[in-house]
Parts: sequence; structure tokens; C-alpha cells
Amino acid sequence: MQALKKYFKGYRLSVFLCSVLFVFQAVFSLSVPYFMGEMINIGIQQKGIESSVPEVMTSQAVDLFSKIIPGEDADIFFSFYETYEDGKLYRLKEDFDEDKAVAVYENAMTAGFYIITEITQGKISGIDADAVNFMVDKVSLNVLYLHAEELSKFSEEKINGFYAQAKDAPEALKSQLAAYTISYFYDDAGINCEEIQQNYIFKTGGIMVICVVLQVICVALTGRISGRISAGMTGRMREDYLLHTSEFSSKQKRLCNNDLFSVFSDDINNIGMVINYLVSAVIYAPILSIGSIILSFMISPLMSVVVLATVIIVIGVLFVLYKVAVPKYDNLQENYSLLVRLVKNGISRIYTIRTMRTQKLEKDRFSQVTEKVRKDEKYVLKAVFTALSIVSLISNLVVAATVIFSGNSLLSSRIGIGDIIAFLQYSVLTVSAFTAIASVIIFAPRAKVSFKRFNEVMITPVPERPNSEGIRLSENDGHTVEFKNVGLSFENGGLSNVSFTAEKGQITAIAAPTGCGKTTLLGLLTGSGESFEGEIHIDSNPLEDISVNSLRQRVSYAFSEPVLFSKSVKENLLLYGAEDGENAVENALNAASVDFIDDENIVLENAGNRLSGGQRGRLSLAGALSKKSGIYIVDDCMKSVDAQTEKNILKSLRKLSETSAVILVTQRINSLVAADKIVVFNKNGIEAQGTHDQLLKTSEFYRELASLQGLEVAVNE
Amino acid sequence: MNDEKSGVFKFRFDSGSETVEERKNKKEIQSRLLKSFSSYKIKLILFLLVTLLYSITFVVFPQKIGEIIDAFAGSIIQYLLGLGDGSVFSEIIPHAIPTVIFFVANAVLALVQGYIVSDIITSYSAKLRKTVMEKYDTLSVSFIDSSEHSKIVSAMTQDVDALNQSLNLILMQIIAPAITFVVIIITQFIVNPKIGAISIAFCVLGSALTLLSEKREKKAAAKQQADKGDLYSDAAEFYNGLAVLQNSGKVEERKANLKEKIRSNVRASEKSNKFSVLQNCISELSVSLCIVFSMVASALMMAKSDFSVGGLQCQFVYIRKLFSSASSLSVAPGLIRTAVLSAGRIYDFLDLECFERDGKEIAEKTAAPENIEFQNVSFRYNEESRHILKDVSFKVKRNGITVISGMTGAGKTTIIKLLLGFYSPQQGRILFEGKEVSSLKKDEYFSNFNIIVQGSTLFDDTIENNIAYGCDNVTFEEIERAAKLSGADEFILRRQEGYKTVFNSKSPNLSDGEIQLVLLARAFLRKRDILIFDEATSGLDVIAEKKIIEALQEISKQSCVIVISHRNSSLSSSCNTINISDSKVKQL
Repeated sequence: MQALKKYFKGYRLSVFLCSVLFVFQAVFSLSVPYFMGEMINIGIQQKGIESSVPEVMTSQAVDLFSKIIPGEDADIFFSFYETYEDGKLYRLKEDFDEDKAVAVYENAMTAGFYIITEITQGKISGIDADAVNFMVDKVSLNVLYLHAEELSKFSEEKINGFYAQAKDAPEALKSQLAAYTISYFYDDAGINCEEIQQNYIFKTGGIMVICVVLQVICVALTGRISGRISAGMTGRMREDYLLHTSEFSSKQKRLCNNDLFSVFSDDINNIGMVINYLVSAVIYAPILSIGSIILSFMISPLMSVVVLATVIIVIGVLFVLYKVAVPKYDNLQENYSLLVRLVKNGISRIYTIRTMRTQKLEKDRFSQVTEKVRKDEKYVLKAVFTALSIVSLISNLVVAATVIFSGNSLLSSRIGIGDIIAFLQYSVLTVSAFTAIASVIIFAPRAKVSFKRFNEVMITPVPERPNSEGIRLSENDGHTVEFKNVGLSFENGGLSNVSFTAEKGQITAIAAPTGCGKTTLLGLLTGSGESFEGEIHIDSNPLEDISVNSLRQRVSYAFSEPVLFSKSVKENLLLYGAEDGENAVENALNAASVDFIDDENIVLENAGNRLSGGQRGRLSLAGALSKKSGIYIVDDCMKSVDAQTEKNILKSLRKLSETSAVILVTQRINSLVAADKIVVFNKNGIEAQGTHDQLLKTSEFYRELASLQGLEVAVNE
Repeated sequence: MNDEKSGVFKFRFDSGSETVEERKNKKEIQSRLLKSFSSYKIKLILFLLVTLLYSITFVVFPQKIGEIIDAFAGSIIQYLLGLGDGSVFSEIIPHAIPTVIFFVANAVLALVQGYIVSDIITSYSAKLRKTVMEKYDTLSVSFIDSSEHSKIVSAMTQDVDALNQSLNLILMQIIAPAITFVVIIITQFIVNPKIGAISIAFCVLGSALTLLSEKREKKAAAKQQADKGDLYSDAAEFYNGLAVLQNSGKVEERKANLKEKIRSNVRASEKSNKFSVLQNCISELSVSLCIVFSMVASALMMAKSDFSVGGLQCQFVYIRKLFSSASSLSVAPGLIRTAVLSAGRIYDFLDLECFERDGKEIAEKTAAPENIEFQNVSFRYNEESRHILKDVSFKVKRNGITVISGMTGAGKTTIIKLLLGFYSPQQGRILFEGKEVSSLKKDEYFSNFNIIVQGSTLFDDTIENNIAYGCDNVTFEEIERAAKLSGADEFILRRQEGYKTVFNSKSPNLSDGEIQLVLLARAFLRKRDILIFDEATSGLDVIAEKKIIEALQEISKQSCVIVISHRNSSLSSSCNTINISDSKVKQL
């Protein structure tokens, strides 16, 4: 994770900006339900009147109210109003004390309600919709006016009693009554309430549209920024990776134990996808849910607990899905690739299978794996569907539970129906934000493995090249290489005491059993950086003192595994280091006996995989020979060529040895016979060296090699 | 040889414009695809039914919630006044129980729907895979040789998989949302036509905008994919040839090129991101605006007491679902196209008519010293190509080792293909025990052969099972004996798990030489009259080759061994040799 942090550091500002924008996005997207709540609470229930005390009253209403409200409170309350229009109307002063005014107003309306109830006692029976409407109407001014006469018959004490009773009434009742009644004062004053209401609805609607637009702008910005972060970070990781690995030699490849290309392509790709999720859904969901929790808390603490619980349950379900489905999913992937392999192998082994009449066996195998794939697939699909159903059930149940069971607690606080609607929207948004994380879950384990691999490569130390500034060999130097008591050690075994010299004018052959370490030994000459004991000199310069670039210029290496590029033959040779003259390419092709290519501009499709092994080997050899060097190493390139071709190539090597040292790794007797000097290795080091004739006498391995290739007779003669 | 002519294996690819013929073809594939579902008729009907029920429960429960909210709103005052005995709950409980039942029913139906789909999809693809495999089995070897293997592999794996995926999505992202969509729209219009109209308007608006941006989005995505492919192939080459580039000092040059590609790849993905963000914004904008406009419209209606708060909440739920269904539907054309393309490729494969031919006769062992004879055989792969063999005649002795040698491409392997009857010569006769190979019944004929061909490898199974491959009822002792005879036991026993060592073809844990010794052990176990060993020693080191030659000499004691080799090994000197060069044969 340390390494990933490093990349995030480069994008600190963007990530910060993105998070800030996410906060805004959350605020705007939560504002829509918030304003919906307001629209219902104020726009519908309060008929669009935002104030919680009447802003306007007729003098008639003031008279009536001064009867209901006892002295002290009345003084305070009416001090907030001033008359205008010749005393016919009263209006709120600019600097009224809202808390006090609201308290008195609510008490007055509640007291009024009790009074009317008292007056009209007996007229209401049972509770139904009509009764409710009637009760609400009862507090209307008209009713009070209607009963004004009866009211005036009430003693002051009695009225004060109602008022005191109203003071002790439940808060919720008082606030509801106040909210319901406020528009009557406006009607009374001849103000068009319908217009106020419509204006309010349109105004709030307008604000909501602005919120939506701002929210979408945030979506666009966060989408762009997070896209940039993930694309940029992936690119940066690739560049760093490229920089880090471009000097990897066999040693580093062995140490990091990963296929460099698949890390570059698939693994970094996987990491990029996770980054994309991280900087989008994973950051946004918590921000949104925190917002929801805060807004719900403003409605009621209980509501915020409900949102929190939902979040926790959804996370829990996703976690279970992760635990249950992901291993099966990996299993599925594995079985699927087994299936592909089975088909591929079936085709490549078609001759064996058809002649051995094992088609049925193959089909059974195929059916078995198909069955496994089917079962895994079904399991994963079912797990995903189950999780989705559970999440949707939970979110639905939250809605139901909120509406059904929290009613009681809801009513003890000052909330309206609109708040419930708003709350329901909050919880829907939160759940859907978390469901968006679900896709990360399926992906997470693979990304983890990818990241591990990436890290393994990146912590592999880059080859140290303190000698890149070392000795530079001129074009006239670097024709002799001398190994002095060289030792190498690797996992199972090693070489020790290797001493031999290869020089200009000679073909030095190396005959060795497979896996004895000769390739690693010769690889030292290409600057592989593997550690070794003893000394290696080129001319008289110690290997470690020579600049690696210069070393590579003087040593040309034909690898035993041919490497070709999907480019033209000529471009291939240029990449191998050929000089860009017509002759260099042509000569090299001739030297390596490449007689199957007529035109050097022919492109080798798919890195030449249509060519046979022998042909690829020859092209690769041509590449190595095309580079002008002092030392040529030909590592077992000729194992799949026929005898005539081998002869031709040996002829070219002979010619090359006139100006350079040639080291030829081979087990083939014709090549060995053609060499000037043969170094025979066993599993631990050099067994013997000398000419062909000498070795037939001194080396058992060599004798075996010779006899295996039909030379026994010749020796005996 | 009619096989080659009919062996044109064309594949369908996604091309931008289509001709009339292609469209007709597409219809054909579609109808065939639909027909292939006929055995799932009941399950599909069940799926549709469940989806319909799901949609209905879906439209019902928001209404129930709405009713509760309305009841709640209605009874708030009574409750506050302490009027009515059960207070608010007496109003709500009657609504609550059916609501919860609807919730649970809805979730269960969603689950059942998902399970039916997973059942249909997985069993369909498993069955299709088997059908394709059966088909593959009847195809002639010569056809498979001549076609691109990757296409056959793809028809048997990726295409089935792609079809499977798109069918899943078609059911879950097209058919199911379409039903839900229709049910919701109808309900909305019944409940409140005004809000229904608003929903439809915004749906149409959103879809239109999405469609407008789709073309550019697709183009950007395609460009990004192409860029990525380009980067990957360059990088693959870079890492593959790293040692070569280091040695030639071209690393910096290639690195600079790759860096440029990485950057252009970043730019391409940013561009592609731009369009997907745009689409995201369009859908977000249309759904949110739809909600806001419905809210305003409802509020105006509520002001006239035409509408209730509960009804409003219900509409919100509808609108969200409506838009999520609509956005699923917007991917429908792409999905159907993918499905038809994959199905088309699979049907192309299933329609191939390149059957392996079989004869009727059974060859009896004769008294002649030779069992195989080529009489004046001429052969070429097709009319354009050169003659591989021209008027070739030779005989193979019943006993000992016969080496067929010649340069690469001389036609050594062709001789084996002809001998096994996978190809027929244009002229001449190939006889086995005096009878023409093409007239022989394959099951009987092949029971005479063991073959080890170029590039033979093992199955990803234990060494034991690999040796026993193709043999029924063999004991472990027999396997062990065969391994000893081939000389494979030596290295097998050196492994920690011995005969239970599992071969891994992805990262081979046996060397090439060891693999061949195991294959030879199989030949020892599965005693047959003739062993064909085709160039299997090329690329081996001399020591490994020696072991194999020893094993071949051992096996030649019990059967006829035909070895194909492009190089003179110690075998050639001591055996019958048939040398091919310039389409002619020289029997030494």
C-alpha cells in the first residue's frame, strides 16, 4: 500500500478537490429532498406562509385575541405589531422577538381550540375524516367570530384557565395547530393565500432546479477529475514501471519472479480500475451517508439512527457477498481457463486423440469442466441476485419501519409530513450510493493480487551500475575474454573454478549439459550484473570496471531462445544493433543462412510465430551477427537446423572469427569438430578443454556426446 | 478431397453498416437463437410471469406506503388530542401488515426471478458448449489443420461465453426492466396522468440526449481500446526482447516510444471518460429534474386538494425505478448485437460440413514382411500449392525401426498424415496389410497405432494418469513397468510426489525430454503393433535424445517403430531409412 500512497501523493490536490466537490455534490443532491420536505410542510400545510406567526392581522382578529390571551402575554405579543391603513390592519414589526411571539401565538391558538371545543361540545361524535376537518376548521377565525358572543360570556378566569391548559399542551399539538391556522389570518385580512402558496411552490421548485443543476455540474466535475486521476495515475505507474524495469537483467527478473509484461498490462490496468472506484463511489458513499445522517438528525435523532443502521446492514450484506461470492468467482475463472486450455490442447493434440480413439474421454473431461463452470457460474449469479434482493428488501423495510413504527416518537418532536418524505428520499439515496460500491467488491481481490505483483517488481532493486562511467572499450579493443577461477552459485548447484580464454582468430566451443549454468556464466558478458567469484577480463580490463554500455557494444549475444519483433526483417536486425547500411543486413542474413526470406522488408507477423523453430533461430542469429562487435556469443542457436544449414553457419562463424572472438555453445558434434578449442563443462565446472582429438581421450562426457552422434566408429578407426 | 473446398470458415465481425443480405442473415440468426430456447419454454414463461408479478408488487407497495403516510397525516390531529382509542396505530396497522407482506413478496420475487435466469443461462451455455464439442468431434482433421485454431477455440469458449453474458443481460437488463417500465407507466397514468406525462417527457428527453451522445462515446471508447491494444503489443515486444534491446543499446529508443504510447493512452482514456461522464450527467439530470417537476406539479395539485402526500411519495419511487429501467433499456441494441454476432459465429461453426470419413473394412494381418506400403503416391495440400510427394513408393517392414528422414518441409509429416488416412492422396494408393487405408474402419485401423507427434505434450494431470491415458483398467504395477521400460521411472521417482506429480502445462515442471519419456511409457503400456514417433527429439539436448533412442530401441522389440527425423542421429545408421527430398523418396 505504501507504493500506492506515493502515487496518490502526486494527486493530493486533485483528490482533495474531488472530495470537496463530492461534499458539494452530496449537499446539492440531498437538498432536493430537503426542499421537498419544505414544500410539503410550508407550501402545502402552511399554504406557503413561511412565517410561524401571522404577519398581518385585522383589528377584529386582534380584538378577539386580546380576549383569549391573558394580560402579560398579550402585552408582549401585541407589542410586536403595529397598525397601518388607518388602524384597520396590524402588521408585524421588523424587530419582533420570534421565539416569544411563536410561543404566545401557539398557546393562543391552542386555547382557542379548547374554547371552541367547550362551546361546541356534544356536536362531535366519533373520529373520522369529517370530524378531523371539522376540528381543524374549528380553530378558524370564522368559527371564533361566530362564537364571539358566547366567548364574551366566559369569565376571565375561565379563559385564563384555557390559556394555562394550552401552555401545558403537547408541543407537537401546538405547532400543528399553529401551522394549520396561520393562513386564516391572511384570508381574514383579504390577502390572496392561493397566490402566496403558488409563489412559494414555484420559488422552492426553482431552488430545487438550481440544486439539480449544481449537483449535475458537480457530477460532471467529479467524474472528470476522478477520471483524470485514475487515467493519469495509471499512466504514471506505467512510466515509473517502465523506467524501473528497462534495465532489468535476468537477475532482477529472477528476483521479482513475475512476468514483466503482464504486470505492465493487466495488473496495472486492474489497479487503475480500483483507483477509479476509490476516487468515485468509495469516497462518495460515506460522504453522502454522513450528509443523510446529519439531515436526518435534524429531523429526529431516531431517524439518523435508522439511516446509520441501514448503512451498517448494507455494508454487512456486501461483506458477506464478498466472502461468499468472491472465492467462488475466482474458482470460476480458474475453471474457465481450464476449459479454454482443454479446448486448445485438444486441438493441438488432435492427431494423438483421434488415433488413440480417446475422443470420448476428452468429451467426458470437457463435460466435467463444463459442469463445474456451470455450477460455479450459477452459484455466483445466485449470490449476486440474493445480495441485491436483500439490499432492496432492507431499504424497503427501512422505509416501512420508519413510517409505521416511528410515528409515536416522531410526533413528540416538531416534524411534519414533509420531513418524513424528505427522510425517505435520504435513505434511498444512501442505500443506492452504497450499492454502487458492490462492483468494487468483486474486483477487490484481483486488484490486491495485481498490486502485490506490481509491488514485487517495484521493490526489486534496479541494477546498480556504478561502472556506467567506467572504462570505455574502443572499436579496436575487446577481442579477448578471459575467465579466471570464476565461480557462480545458484539455487541448486553452481559452477566453480571456471578458467578459459576466448580470443580473436578462434572459435571457442562450449559443450555442456543442460542446466549447468553456462548461460548465466556467459550472460555476465552482457552486463547481467549477477554476482560471481574470481575474475573476468576483457582484453586486460576487469569486467566490473568496464562501462556497461561499452561492454554491450563489444559483445553480441545470440540467445538460445529466439527473440523476434513484429516488424520487418530489416527493422528486426536494426533493433538487434545492425548498422543502417544495406550490406550489414544482407550480410548478416547470409551469414545466418536465412534463405527462406526473399525480401528483407517482409513483416514478421505475430513476432514470427508462423516460422518454424529453426527459422526463428536463424533470424535471431542473423540479428546477433548483424551487430559489429568484438566478441560474438552464439548460445545453442542451431539445435533445430539441419546439417547443411549448420555447415553454412559454421562457415560464416569461421569468417567472423578472423576479426572477433566467437564463443559457440553447442552439443552438436559437427559444430564441435569445427571449433578451434572446446571447453567441456560438467555440472560443477570445467571438465576438460582442448581440441576435438584431445578431448576424445580426456573427457568422458565428450566421448559420450561424440558416440551418441555416431562418431564412435570414426574414433575407433 | 472435398474437405478443403468446404472448409472456408468465415466469421462474422461487427461492421458498422450492414447490407440487405446481412440483415436477412441477422434475422435468420435471431430466429434460430429464439428456437434454441424452445426447450426452456416453461422456464421462460415462468420468468415472464415472475417478472410481471414482481412489477405488480413493485407498483403496489409504494401505494401502500403512500396510504400509510396519508392515514398518518389524517390521524395526526386525533392522535395529538388523545382522541380515538387506538390513536394513530389503529389507522396504520391495517395498512402496515399488507405492506410488509408486499415488501417481502417483492424481494422474494426478485430472488426467484434471478434464480430462474441463472438456471436458464447456465444450463443453456453448458448445453451449447457440449453441442459445439460434439460438432468439433465430427470435423475432419484436415479441416482443423487448415483453419485458424484460435477461431475454433473462440467458437467453443469465448463466443459461447459472450452469448451467455449477453443473454443474461438481455433477460435481466432488457426484458425485465421493459416489463417493469410498462407496468409503472400504466400505473402512473391511472393514478395521476399529469405526473405520468411528466415522467414520459423526461424519459424521452433523457433517452434522446443519451442517443445523441452515444455515437461519439462509442467512437471514443473504440479509440481507447485500440490505443490500449497498441500499447500492450508494443510493451509485450519490449519486455520479450528486453535482453536483445539491452545488448544492442536500443532500450532508450524503444522506451521513449513506449512512453509516448502510455501518454497517448492516458489521453485516450480521458477522452473516453469525458463522454461517459457526459452520459452520466444526462441521466442524472433527467431523473432529478423529473422528480423536481413532479414535485412542483404535485404541490400545485395538493394545494387544490387534488393530491395527497402519500401519493407523492409513491410517485417518487415510481420515477426512480422508471429511470433506472430506462437506462438499462438504453444498452439493449448493443447487447442484442453482441448476442447475434456471437450466436452467428457459433452457428457458422455448427453448420460446417467437413466430416471425418470412415471406411467399413477391417484389415487382417498378412504374412508379408511389410505391413505398410505406399504405391505411386502423389499429394499436394491444394491445387495451388506444390506437390509435397510425387509418385512416391516405399514399404515399411513389420519389425524394427524405420527412419523417415529429410529436410524441414520435405513432407515427412505428410507421409504420416496420409498413412493415418486424415488426408487422401490425389494419386496412388496407401495400403495397410494389403488394404487401402481409406476403406478401413477407423476404430479398428487405429487400434494398431501409438503415435507421438511434433510438439506432443502431456495433460494437466498426474504422471500416472498421463501414462495410463487411453487405457482402461490398468494397474499401478503395469504403469510402473511401462515407465521403467521407457526409462521415465528414473526422473519420476526423483520427484517428491513421484507418479502423483501433476504436470502443469502453463509452467512446465517437466523438461521436454522428460515429457517424451512419459509419452513413450504410454506407448509401452498401450501395446500396439506400430509406433509413430514424429520429430519429437528435435530441440532436445544430446543426452536426453540418447535416453529416448534407447527407449525406442527397446520398444522396437515388441512393435514396428516409424521415426521421423530431420537430422541423422545414431539411429539412422542401424535402421531402415527412407529419405525424402524434392518430393521423391529414396529407400536406403
